[in-house]
Amino acid sequence: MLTPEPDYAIKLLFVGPVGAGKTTAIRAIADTPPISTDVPWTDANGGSKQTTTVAFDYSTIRLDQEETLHVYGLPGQHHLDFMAPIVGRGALGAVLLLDASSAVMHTDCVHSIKELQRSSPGLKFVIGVTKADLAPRFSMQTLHQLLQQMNLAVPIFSIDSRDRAQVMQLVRALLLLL
Amino acid sequence: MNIQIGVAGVPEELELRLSLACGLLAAAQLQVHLQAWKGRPCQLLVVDLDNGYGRLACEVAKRRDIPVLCFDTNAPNADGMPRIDRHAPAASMARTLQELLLPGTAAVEGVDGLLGICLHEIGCDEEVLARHGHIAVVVRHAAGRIHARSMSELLAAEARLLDGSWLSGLRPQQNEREYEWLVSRSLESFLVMACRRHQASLPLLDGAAYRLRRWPDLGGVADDLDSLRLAALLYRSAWRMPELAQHTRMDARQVNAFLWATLVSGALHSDEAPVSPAFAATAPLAAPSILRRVARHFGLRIGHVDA
Repeated sequence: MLTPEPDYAIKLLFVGPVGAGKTTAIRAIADTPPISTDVPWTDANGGSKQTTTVAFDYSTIRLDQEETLHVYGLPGQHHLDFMAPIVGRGALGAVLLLDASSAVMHTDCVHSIKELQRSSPGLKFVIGVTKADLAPRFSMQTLHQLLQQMNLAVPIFSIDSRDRAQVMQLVRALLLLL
Repeated sequence: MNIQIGVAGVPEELELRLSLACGLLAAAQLQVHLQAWKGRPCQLLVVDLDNGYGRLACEVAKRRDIPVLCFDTNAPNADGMPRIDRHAPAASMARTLQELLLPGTAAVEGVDGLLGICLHEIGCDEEVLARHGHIAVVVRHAAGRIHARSMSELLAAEARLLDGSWLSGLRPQQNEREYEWLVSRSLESFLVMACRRHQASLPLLDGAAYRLRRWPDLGGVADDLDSLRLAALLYRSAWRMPELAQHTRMDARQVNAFLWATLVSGALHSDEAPVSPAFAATAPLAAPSILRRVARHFGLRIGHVDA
């Protein structure tokens, strides 16, 4: 496989904390299964997620005969934040996925946004909230208020990251911001 | 809330239906006790004006300033007293009773049913239980979710969105475990789909200009590109419905339905300074060809007038 030239490749990023569904979302919309660097997740709590990404996911979407959209999923672990500016250089935009069932969703949200703003200033992004149907405490209003406090107004969609159509809808919203 | 309703001169068959209607009011947190009226104070007196005792009770109640609801076969309503059709079903009676006992909770600003209930509860941090016969949904505005016991129940609620027989009431905070037995979906996605389904019956919002104060949650209406386009335009600037329909070349009723859905969810507000269509048409700049190609792959046209 040819490695795309970083500065000329059309890139779309998926970012967010561990377990938010980045690999699943990429799998849902990409032409090929993502090349993942998943390893067994030692903190797994017995749920369906048994592995986690320790470098990044990569896959492609063929746009036409000449162009390919390169899709990257950045790792969720904070100690791998250094990869974001390297992988994200020249990206069209980012999809930030958050896990509504996580007790630290708001902290994750703030951290991910700050990290995006640090690594790629001015990069447009949208937010996808996964597992909202499993999280009775989840409040869309609180999330909107959190972003308002950060002077941000971005689309926030609750999605099922396994559903291709819903992930596509989120990417469409991102494209409408560009 | 405990309510005492007196009954005077009402036939047994009507009283039975009235009793059923009172039972339905439990969904609106109204505990209604129905009893034969013997001149004692009560919150409402229900009388049959076709009955002599009913007419006498009505006169006495009026002198004592007790609100009266009349069953009457005679159409003219010269005395201004609220009336109810003696052939009305229990659900309809319940709605009339609720409107008398809790004014404003059953129908709001031109829309009835579940849509009216959602509109009335904008900004409410409490959970609202809405019932229509055997259908029950929990609306959580703050969370942006709607819950039901099954997806088919949500679909049934969608089908009866504007039905006037919905009853509602605030629901005490539930144990989180209760939600394990309920399915849920995004409230905005539900409203967008439901309003689209009933677009022909919705009043036209063609007076004011409207603008989105935030993006609605459209993740659950994944195949609906039109709603996404409307959201993008309404988030950028204020629009009047006819101009927006003309600009997007969509059916006015469809645009109106989207406005209703986002208005009821609390995302839309009226704005006094609408953008001129001429400005809007030129607002999106020509997008780079790469972006256009990416957008085309995802089913969008960017750099044209409609996005």
